[in-house]
Amino acid sequence: MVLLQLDPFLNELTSMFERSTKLGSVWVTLKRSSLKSKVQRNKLAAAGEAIEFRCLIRATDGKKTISTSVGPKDHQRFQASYATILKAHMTALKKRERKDKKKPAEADKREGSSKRLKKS
Amino acid sequence: MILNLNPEELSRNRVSVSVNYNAMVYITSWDEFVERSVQLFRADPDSTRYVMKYRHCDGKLVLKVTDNRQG
Repeated sequence: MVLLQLDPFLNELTSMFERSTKLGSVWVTLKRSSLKSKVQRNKLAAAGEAIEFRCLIRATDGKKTISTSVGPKDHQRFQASYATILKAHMTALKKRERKDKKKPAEADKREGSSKRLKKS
Repeated sequence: MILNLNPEELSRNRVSVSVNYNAMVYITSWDEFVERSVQLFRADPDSTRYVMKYRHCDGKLVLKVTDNRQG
């Protein structure tokens, strides 16, 4: 598994989505991580030092696995880019059929206005 | 805990939660999924992970949040 920088990770993720359009799946896993072992974490906790938690992100298409680690500073930028990639490639999902509450109200208004016209 | 965004299930306005043999909970309500996911993470942040599986050819998106515990 390759630990990449943010931009190479996002580029490779884009390629994964493009490769798996006709066949296959893409898995993305997010997990909180300090990138330190339990022993190291316990030492830091005992010393009263703050542990900086990062977000470990892994992506795979079943053949290739890539990963990156995002810190608090880069998190917002990463989320924005990640969301853009998802919106661009998740085009096969159908929109939910919502029962619009506005439409019946609008219809009533139209009927009311037509009745008024008829009366006059 | 899984939110299965299957297009057919999304189009039906129903909420169902079912538990199978290894305590995997399938949720079709987005709000409930968010609430339960937050609960899982707060209970054990170090062992909770979020997995997304997207399958373009089937038009399926499955979101899973797990704390790696059975039962």
